[in-house]
Amino acid sequence: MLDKIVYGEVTVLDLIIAFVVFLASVGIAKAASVYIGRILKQRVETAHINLVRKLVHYGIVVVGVFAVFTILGVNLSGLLVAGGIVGVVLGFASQSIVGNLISGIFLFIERPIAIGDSVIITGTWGTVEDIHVFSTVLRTYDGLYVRIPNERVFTESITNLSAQVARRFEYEIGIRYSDDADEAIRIIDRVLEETPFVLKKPSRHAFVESLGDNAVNIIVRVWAPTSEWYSLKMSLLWKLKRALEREGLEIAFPQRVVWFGNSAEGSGKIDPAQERLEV
Amino acid sequence: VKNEDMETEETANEFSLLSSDGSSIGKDPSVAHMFGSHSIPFSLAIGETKLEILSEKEYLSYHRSSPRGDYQTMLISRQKRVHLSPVEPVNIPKMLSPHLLVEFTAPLTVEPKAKRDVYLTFPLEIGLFVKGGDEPQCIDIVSLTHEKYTLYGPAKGGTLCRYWRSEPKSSLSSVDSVTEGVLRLAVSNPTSGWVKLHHVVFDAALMKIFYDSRKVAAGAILRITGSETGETSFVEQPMEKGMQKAIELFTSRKIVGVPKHFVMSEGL
Repeated sequence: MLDKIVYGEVTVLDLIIAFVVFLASVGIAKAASVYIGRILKQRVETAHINLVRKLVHYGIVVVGVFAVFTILGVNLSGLLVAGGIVGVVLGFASQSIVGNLISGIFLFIERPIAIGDSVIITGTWGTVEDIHVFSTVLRTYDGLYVRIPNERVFTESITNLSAQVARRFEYEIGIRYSDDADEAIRIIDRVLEETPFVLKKPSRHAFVESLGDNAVNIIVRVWAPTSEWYSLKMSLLWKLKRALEREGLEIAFPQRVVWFGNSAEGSGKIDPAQERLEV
Repeated sequence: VKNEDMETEETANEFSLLSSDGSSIGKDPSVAHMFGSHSIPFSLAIGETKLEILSEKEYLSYHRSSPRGDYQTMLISRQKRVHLSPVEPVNIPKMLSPHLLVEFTAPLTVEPKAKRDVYLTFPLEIGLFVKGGDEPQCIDIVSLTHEKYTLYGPAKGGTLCRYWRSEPKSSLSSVDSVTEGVLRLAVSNPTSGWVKLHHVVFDAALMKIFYDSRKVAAGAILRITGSETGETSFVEQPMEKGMQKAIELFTSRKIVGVPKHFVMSEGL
């Protein structure tokens, strides 16, 4: 009965096998679709999950159909040639889409950024608003919406400003040569100690970094909680300046001391009291 | 440790209960009259910080003036009482992290197999609450302590902590009851080596704070697990009988199933 030829060399058994293969491919496609939906849930938007699920579902079903054709003795060479040409055309057309999709999947695996992080991607500063399958959305600090294809996000450098709990920043403060740098450092250190968001550890530093043309330059390096970094950086410098000035120390400004070459009459020496001019 | 062991002395930061016109109706260095329930209108001066809550028909108006800034809010509430309670000390100036790092003024070296109590202090934060419904509503939190944060561990993967410095003492001694609470730390070193302690880190969201007429206190445990590692947790019972339990802000962290300890893996 099962060996009975239906057409050509195809038997009843072949028909049954083909039917089972088709049902199996549909079943596998369904299971794979559900599984992918589960693993992508809460990581990817619902719309994108559905898209990926459909791609996987129909991909498996198409493979199953090809298997059924093979079992039924249908010659697919012509179809493959046509399909190959269509595939090449579609491949070229969808190259960037597939690239973005693959990059998006790798971004989910590697997770260099998360929603809410402050980042610099492709030179754009902003906060990550959303990470889609094909693109990443930033909100720049001036409120602009920027959509960056995932291929670029994945292949270019990413600076994640929020990845660590603490960040460092520094100021250069120039005081006059006539001021006491040790005293200035003591005042700066006191202000830093009194400022809650200047972290105790990693240690803060204040030291004379260079003897400049116009000032003794003191470098101040502090660590702050990442969430408070920007507001602290904005407020601390003025606080330091005011504290220094309250104690009689002044921030230096550019100046030149000009010595006139004419000597005091008869002495042959320059009289500094008369010949010096500060500009 | 009994109450008699604790000396009471005049503290630097007094507080005054004020009458509704702002005049002082009494000063007391103990915390007896500060914490607990008070009828509205209510005024309190702690150092230079003044708190006032008034009732206006079905509204409550609250005002705080302090060197760190003023704050004002209104509540639609018919409640007639305000509750003052010490709270977990990680809220001021901002709740950045639930962790509290207490640095010792001098290292504490613990011999192998030792088990001893050490007395430290923790920063006191005072919460004002109005009760109504299932949960008390926190109106404001004030503190007179020095506010500082630190990082426990490296910049990469470290833990942000509220910073506090305390001298480890072998017995309970007097503290400034308006700014500090007593932290009894049960240190145990089951390892076979000497261990030097420089600081201790807690998940303060799990803290159980109690108070009585003389002090605010909490009990904690440090179990040393290696030369550079340990585990900290809090004791659920009061240090002494009769102490009142403080109102908790981090109630959701204390539910069953959540780990109730902090692992110090970045050094002791």
